[in-house]
Amino acid sequence: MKHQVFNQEGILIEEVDVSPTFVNVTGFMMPIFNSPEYMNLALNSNLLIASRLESLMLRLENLPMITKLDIEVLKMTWDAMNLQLLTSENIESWNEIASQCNMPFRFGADGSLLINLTVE
Amino acid sequence: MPISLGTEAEYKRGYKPGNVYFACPVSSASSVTSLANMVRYAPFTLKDDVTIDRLSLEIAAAASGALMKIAIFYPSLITKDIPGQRIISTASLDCSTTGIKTGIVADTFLKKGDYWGATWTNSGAIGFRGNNGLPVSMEYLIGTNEQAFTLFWCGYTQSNVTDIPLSVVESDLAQNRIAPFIKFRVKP
Repeated sequence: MKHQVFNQEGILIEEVDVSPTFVNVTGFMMPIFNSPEYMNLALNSNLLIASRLESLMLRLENLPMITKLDIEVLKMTWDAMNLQLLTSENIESWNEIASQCNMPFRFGADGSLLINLTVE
Repeated sequence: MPISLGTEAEYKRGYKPGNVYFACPVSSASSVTSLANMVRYAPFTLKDDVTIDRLSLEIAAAASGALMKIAIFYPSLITKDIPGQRIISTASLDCSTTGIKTGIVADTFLKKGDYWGATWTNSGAIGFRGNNGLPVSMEYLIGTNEQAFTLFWCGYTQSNVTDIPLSVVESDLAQNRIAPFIKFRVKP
């Protein structure tokens, strides 16, 4: 959807695209958390960190708006997982899911979370 | 232990500078078809003093050559349940495309209290986001009757006008159950 701003003479002075992007946290979480790769990662990482990570994802699901701070907290926890267990195929397929679900982050080559610059 | 209420400035702030607020209770966002050369008035209440600098409305269906204006009125001095004098109006906003249309107005200080939002269009073919007789309506200001459960008055219409008028009298108005979802921006 476009948002047009007109000045006091009725002349169009600004036009921006305001189409809302739906962040589908559930659509992202379900395939990832149920995959054997994630199960392997969780079981071979600190279990406290893994359970905290899953709680943080559930929290994201319930937020009306996800901010950069929310993702930074998630990143701190995710990056503390035993990420060397991930393969480049894992990362590639998870990035595809993240992209389809409009998640405000992607996974780097080392598996760490990269925050999209567009999140404020 | 005493509870902190924040700084004095934070505590006193009713409307946040730069934020945009709906001027009426918003129910589901139905699209309502316009009628040509008609002004629709709907009341709203400001909970605090505010300076506004923009007025907006979303156009869900566009029409070639369609123009719209958004305005705010004081309540009538004679009977407060109808609009009276115009305070501010946007210029004519082009509605040949859909989307949110925002008109910049002169910075306008409004005291806490009741006001009337108004929209005018020259087109009988555009659709705007508005309340259409739904229970979340303006009956708290206009009143309803004891039998009404599905039809609530939301405001008034004024027909056969080619612009937003400077002032309104009761005989110009007809009760109506449609209210455009006007938004105002608080001056940043």
